Amino acid sequence: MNTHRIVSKMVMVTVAWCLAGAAALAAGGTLANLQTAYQGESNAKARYEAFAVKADAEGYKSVAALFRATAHSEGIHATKHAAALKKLGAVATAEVAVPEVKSTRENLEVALKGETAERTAMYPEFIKQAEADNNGKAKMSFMGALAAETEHAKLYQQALNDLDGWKATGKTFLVCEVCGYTALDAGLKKCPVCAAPRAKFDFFK
Amino acid sequence: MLKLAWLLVAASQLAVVVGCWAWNHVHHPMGNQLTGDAAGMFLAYGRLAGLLAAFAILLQLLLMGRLPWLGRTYGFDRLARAHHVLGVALVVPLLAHPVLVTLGHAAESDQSWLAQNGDFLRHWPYLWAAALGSGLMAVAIVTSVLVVRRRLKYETWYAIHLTLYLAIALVFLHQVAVGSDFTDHPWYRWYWFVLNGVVALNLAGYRFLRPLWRFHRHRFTVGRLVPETADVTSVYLEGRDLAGFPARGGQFLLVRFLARGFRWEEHPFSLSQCPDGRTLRLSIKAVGDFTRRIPALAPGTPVIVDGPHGLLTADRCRFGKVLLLAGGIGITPIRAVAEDLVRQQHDVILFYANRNRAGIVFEQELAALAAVADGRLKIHHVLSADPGWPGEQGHLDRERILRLVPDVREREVFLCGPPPMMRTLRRALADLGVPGRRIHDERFSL
Ligand SMILES: [Fe+2]
Repeated sequence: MNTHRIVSKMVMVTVAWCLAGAAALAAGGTLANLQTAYQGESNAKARYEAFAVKADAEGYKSVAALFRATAHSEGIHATKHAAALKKLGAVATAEVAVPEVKSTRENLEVALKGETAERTAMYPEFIKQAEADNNGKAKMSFMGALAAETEHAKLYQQALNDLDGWKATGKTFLVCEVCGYTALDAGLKKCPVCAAPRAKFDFFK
Repeated sequence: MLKLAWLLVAASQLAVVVGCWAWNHVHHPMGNQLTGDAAGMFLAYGRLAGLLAAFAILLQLLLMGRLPWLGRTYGFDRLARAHHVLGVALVVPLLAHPVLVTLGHAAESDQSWLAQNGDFLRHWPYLWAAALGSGLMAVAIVTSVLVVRRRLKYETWYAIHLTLYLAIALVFLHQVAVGSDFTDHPWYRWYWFVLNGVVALNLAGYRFLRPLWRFHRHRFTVGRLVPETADVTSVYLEGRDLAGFPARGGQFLLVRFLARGFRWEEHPFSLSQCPDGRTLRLSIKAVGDFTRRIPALAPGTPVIVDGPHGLLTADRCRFGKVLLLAGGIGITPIRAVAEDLVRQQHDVILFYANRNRAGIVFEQELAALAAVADGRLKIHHVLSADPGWPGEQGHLDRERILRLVPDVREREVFLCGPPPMMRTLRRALADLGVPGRRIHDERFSL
C-alpha cells in the first residue's frame, strides 16, 4: 500500500518535471526563433537598401522603389520581433553583414530565393512553435512577416518577368506601417492583414 | 403562425450576419482569428459585438417603424415594449465593440489603449462619426431608462430620440468604411447594403411618407370639440374623402396636431365611433400636460394622422357571443367595437367600470345603442365609489362576471382599461376558463 503511494508520487513528480522541461525548452524555441527572425529581417533590410541603390544606378527605377518598400517592410518586422523578444525579457541583437551586391537581375533572384525560403520553411515552423509555446505576440509577429514575405516574393517574380518594363518610374508601392504588408498600390483603402486604414500606409515610388 | 414566421425571418438574418462574420474570421489571411492570439480574438469578437449592435439597431428601426405588417401580427404595444427592452440591451454590444476593437488594434500596433483611440480619431476614416454616433445613442438610451425618463419633459426625450436618426447615419459611415467584414468581402457588403436598404425603405415609407401622403389626400383638420364628461373631450377630425380612409372601429390613430404647443408630440388615440365617412371621432381624457390642453385646440387645426393601427376590431370575433370589458377612458375602442358588433347582429354584454356616475363617458350614447340593438346589447355600469348607484357597485371582478355572464366561456372577450384592471381581469378570465386566444386587448402605448 505504502510503496504503491510512493511509486505513484514518483511517477507524478517525473511527469511534472518532464512537462516543465518541455515547456522551458519550447519557450527557448520561440525565443531563439525570434532572434533568428530578427537577424534575418535586419539583414534583409540592409540587403534590400543596397539593392535599391544598385537598381537606381542601373536605371531600374521601379525595382528600386520596390526594394525600398520591402526594406521598409523588413524593418517593421524586425521591430515587431524585437518587441516580442522584449516581452520575453530578451534583447534583440543582430549581426548585419555587408550585403553582396550584383546586377539587379541577380539581386532580384537572390531576394526571391530568400523570401521563398522564409515563407515556405522558416516562418511556418516558427508559427507552429509559437503556437505550441502559447506566445501570441510572437505568433502574430511571425504571421505578419509571413503574409508580407508572400507578397514580396510575388512582386520580385513580377519584376523578373518584365525587367525592362520595370525601368520606368510610375509604379507605387505601399507598406503598412502597422504590420509591414507590402503591395503595388491600386488605391487599397485598408490593409488586408491588420485592417489599418490608408492613412497608416507609407508609399514608395 | 405569422408571429413565428417573422421571428424566423429575423433569426435567419441574424444567422447570416453571424455566419458571415465567423467565416470571415476563420478564413482570415492571418489564420483563424476566433481562437488563438489575444489581439486577433479582441478584434474578432469586437467586430461581432459591432455587427450585433448594428443588427439590433435595424431591428429597433423596424420595431418603431409603424410597419403595418408587423403591427398586425404582434400589436404595436408589444413591439413598443420589445423596442424598449432591446434598446436598453443594446448598451452591451455598444460598449463592448469599441473597447474590444481598440484593445485588438492597440495590441497589433504596440501602443496603449488610449493612444490607439487617438489614432482612431485622427487617422481612421469616419471613426469620429462612430464616436459621435455612439455617444448620441448612449444619451438616448440613458434618457429612455424609466427612472430618468419620468423626470424629463416629453419634448426633451423626443428631441433626444430624434437625434438617433443622425446617430445611425453616422455609425453606418464607419461600418462600411472600416468594417473589415464589409470592406474585405464584397458579397457581405452587398448583403449589408440590401438589409439596411430594406429597413430604410420600410421606415421611410410607413413612418414618414404614408402619414404625409394620407395628409395630402385627406387634409385632416380639427372639426368640432364636444365635452363628454368633466375631463373627456371628443375631437371630431374632418377631411376630404374620409370614406377612403381605411379605419375600423376599435383601431387607434397616432395624431399630431399642427398647432403651437402641440406639434412636437404625437399620441395614440382610439376611435370612439365607427368611421362614418365624414368624421373620425377621438375621445381624449385629460390625464397629462398634453391631454389637458386638448379643449384649447382651435377648429381648423391641421392634423397629421398615422394609422389606422391596432387589432381590436370586430373582425377578431369568431363567435356569435361577445363580452366587452371597459374601464374608464378604455371605453373608447370598446364603444366603437360595440357599434360594429351590434350592426353585425352579435349578442353583446358590456361591462363598464368607473368610479362614479359622473365619470361614465357616453352614457346616453351607449343607452341609445342598446335601444336600437333589440336586446342584443346588455350594458352593466359597475361603479366603485357611488353609494347612490342603483346598479352594480364595487369592482369589475371574477364573481361579478360569473354571476352576470354565466356563459362567459362561450364568449369572445374584448378588454380595454387601465393596466392594473387589465391584469386582474386577464387573471379572472383565465380562472373562469376563457382561453387566452379568445381574449383581445389593447394597450396602445407606443
Ligand atoms: Fe497592415
